[in-house]
Amino acid sequence: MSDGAYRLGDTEVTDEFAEAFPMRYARVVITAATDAWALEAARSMTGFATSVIGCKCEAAIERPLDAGETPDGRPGIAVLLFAMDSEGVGERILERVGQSVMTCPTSACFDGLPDGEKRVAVGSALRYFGDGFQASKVVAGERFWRIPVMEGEFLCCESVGVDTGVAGGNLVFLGADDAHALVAAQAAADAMRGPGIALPFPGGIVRSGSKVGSLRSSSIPATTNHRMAPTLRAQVDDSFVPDGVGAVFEIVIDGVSEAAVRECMRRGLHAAADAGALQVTAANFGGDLGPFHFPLSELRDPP
Amino acid sequence: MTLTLTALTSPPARVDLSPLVPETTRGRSAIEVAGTAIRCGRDRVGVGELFAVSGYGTDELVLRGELGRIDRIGAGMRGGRLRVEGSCGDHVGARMTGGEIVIDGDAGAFAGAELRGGLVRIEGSAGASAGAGYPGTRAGMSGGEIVIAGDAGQEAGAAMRRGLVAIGGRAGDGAGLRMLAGTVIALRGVGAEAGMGNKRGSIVSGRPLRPLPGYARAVRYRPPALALQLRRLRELGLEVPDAMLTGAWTRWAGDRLELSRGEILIFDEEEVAAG
Repeated sequence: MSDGAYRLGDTEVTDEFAEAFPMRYARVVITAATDAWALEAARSMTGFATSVIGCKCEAAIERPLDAGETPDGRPGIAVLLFAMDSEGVGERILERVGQSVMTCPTSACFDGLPDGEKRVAVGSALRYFGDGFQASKVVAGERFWRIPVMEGEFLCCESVGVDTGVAGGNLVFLGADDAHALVAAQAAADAMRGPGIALPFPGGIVRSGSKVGSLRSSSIPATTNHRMAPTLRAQVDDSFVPDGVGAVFEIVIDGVSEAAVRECMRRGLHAAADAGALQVTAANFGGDLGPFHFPLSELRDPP
Repeated sequence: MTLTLTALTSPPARVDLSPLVPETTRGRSAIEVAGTAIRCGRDRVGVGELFAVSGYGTDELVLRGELGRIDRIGAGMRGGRLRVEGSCGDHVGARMTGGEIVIDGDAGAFAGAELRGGLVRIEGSAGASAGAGYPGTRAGMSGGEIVIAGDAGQEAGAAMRRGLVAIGGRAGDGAGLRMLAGTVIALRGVGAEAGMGNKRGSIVSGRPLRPLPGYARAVRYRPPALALQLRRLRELGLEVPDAMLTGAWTRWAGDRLELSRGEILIFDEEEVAAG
């Protein structure tokens, strides 16, 4: 092992670092009459939002909220949505609240980032769906729009705050086979979710990690990470897959701050080790992509 | 020590105390404040002739004693906090744009009239025209919140354009007269002829009533925005029953003599028969 590598039980932790970059994000609080309907709206809003490259944004459920934590006293879900700039956040929020939240029975939409650096329109744009029958109310200095719909009214905050977060943190889990690797990755994902964290891939886990560009075409922006694909280990010269590894999973982390991402990675690393990962490593682009570096060597202490 | 004015006696005529608000007394000594000229009827008198002044001017100002003939307390106030320990006269907080006024007792007529911003809290009851526009003005209150723990007199929120008038008790007749927009909530109901000439405003009655003929029944539902407003009233100290937060309200749309885009929301566990 190199100087920075170490073992956690039977798990080898490599001397690598995750590389992340700044992205803009918003937090939307969705409430509904029941937990189940709030979850439906949140799942719909965060669907097809795994990678900013292909989906124009990355989004995930941050955490469920008790009725006591939401503005209208109903059960809710906090959603984090990341995009490359504030305009992108605004466009994606508008599309997704309009198509996935407003359409969901009993839902309402609130700003979860009132002190954000910038603000982007939500209700003040969606109100036009009301076709002139919409009305607004100012409650405690904040304007809300009442948009009449077939069920009754959709209540939506006028705008949401946007702040700068950190996107692209990651951990990569290697296992003897797909079942063992997935157990480790799932344990990590469960431990990593929490306030300030979005894991945008399905179940938080991605099996098709990518590299920038292509070996064969200049027009393809991203292709499979062939160096981490176990099936290619015997046919490429630059494979990173060690002997005895049959499957690899990655968790990509978007967080509200560098500290949130670092502590999330720490939780995931130790959970994966406890769950029997053969190896845990991290993906980077040589340090040229983003200003935030998370060396695994700094995550040795348990959370 | 907070600057405190204690009424020495009931004044010989009504007094306009609007020159004394936190932004004009801040940084001034009791002696300086006592020398401030205020209007008492047709005369101008020194504050010290009517009040015992103590303390030093900060962002807070306290008034004590018999203040029933003291009008325009906090009128035009832009910030800070003003506390009235007892009841006060008319026009308290009129045209105020910011800050907070708390009246421990009752307030006279036109409390918070043409309010622009800030908070007026009346722990007792308010006289007529709370939050209303003055006669001759088209638009009255345009922002801020008036919270009345007791009852409100006639024409609460008349001509209001924005903002909230929240009444823990009952509103008198003519609540929301000629309302342009904004919200009047009366948890124990509103009097006769509520919302006459209402364009886009919301009048909320916690007790059944029969709206004017210019209103048409729309639906019985759970208005999500009202739940938010009622929770805000709880934050402001009013006792809002859980049933109002979770229960159904009947929406009447009107006034059809105007835009018919205003509403009266009526809380009625057993809905009153329409018609």
